[in-house]
Amino acid sequence: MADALPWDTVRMAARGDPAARRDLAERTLDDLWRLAMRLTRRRQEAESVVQETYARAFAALDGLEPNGRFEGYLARIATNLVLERWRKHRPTEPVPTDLPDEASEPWQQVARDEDDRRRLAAVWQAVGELDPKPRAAVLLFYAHGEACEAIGRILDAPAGTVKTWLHRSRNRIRQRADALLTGQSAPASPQPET
Amino acid sequence: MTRPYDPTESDLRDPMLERLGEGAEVPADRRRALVDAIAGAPTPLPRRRRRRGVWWIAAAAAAAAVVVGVALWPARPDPIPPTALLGDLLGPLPNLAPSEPAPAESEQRGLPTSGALDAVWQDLEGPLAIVVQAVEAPRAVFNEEPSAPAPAGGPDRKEN
Repeated sequence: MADALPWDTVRMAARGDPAARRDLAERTLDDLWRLAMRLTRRRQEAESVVQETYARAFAALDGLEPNGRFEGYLARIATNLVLERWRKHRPTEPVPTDLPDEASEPWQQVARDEDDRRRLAAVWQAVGELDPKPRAAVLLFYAHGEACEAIGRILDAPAGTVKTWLHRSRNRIRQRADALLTGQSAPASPQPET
Repeated sequence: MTRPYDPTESDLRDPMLERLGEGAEVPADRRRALVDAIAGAPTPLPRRRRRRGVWWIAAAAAAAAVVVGVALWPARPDPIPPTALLGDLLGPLPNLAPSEPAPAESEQRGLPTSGALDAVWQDLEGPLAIVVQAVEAPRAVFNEEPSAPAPAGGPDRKEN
């Protein structure tokens, strides 16, 4: 993980200093983009989330106490933005299981053989059917590599709750992905409580 | 009593799910464009301060308008006394005074006594007349002498 961004740089960036902003963006953009991409899976949406996250961060910076890492603050803003979008629009389009060789999405491109691609697509679809907070927890933990404590801070939940979400969601994803791959109807297992 | 399941983070690991993180690198061209956009973006004011600022500006403008209006209002050379204002609103005071003595209390209440009785009597006259006629009519039938011979084809016909 890169060195934490100095808060002086953050303050100068928030006041509009172009050099500080460029420095801030250079040092935080990659991680923020990965997070947005892993949560949204769409390049255009990820870009919109990234831009809005910086805008919100700069707008609210005056009331912010410099404790912790600015990167964590950005992750929290970005995740909450994505949660807001998920709550407004639940995903209705299923992930296709017969993927073309040259798939348009990066997460599809990395799956090499056909079985793997089908499996990964089924897992993505199962993840997309989770409730917003467990879904964010799953993506932050498995895709983004965050620890349960950090996820709890981002999602305003105790670490124990995050673990419960992860445990139940993992079981549900496995069952649902298996059902999708074998062509059975989805098992009626309950959603993890949010 | 069973303890609730408390998995460690390593218990929760899953290689398949960890593949969800693949392929999320930012493309180089988009990265450059985003860095440029963030470096050159206008500095937004904090939301709360912006709203509060707008509120204060509006309140100050309204107060200034009132002060300027009061200061520039032309002074009237002959001030109007409050009684004249009341007079304009309510009409001349002599017009409000009663021109005739107040009517007697009985007149104020409504009809004069005799008039009221007449009205009650007129209301009752019709129904009373009907009742009287209903009582008198059967008596008149019994007391009345037959004035004409019995009609032909009646019971007296046997005598013929």
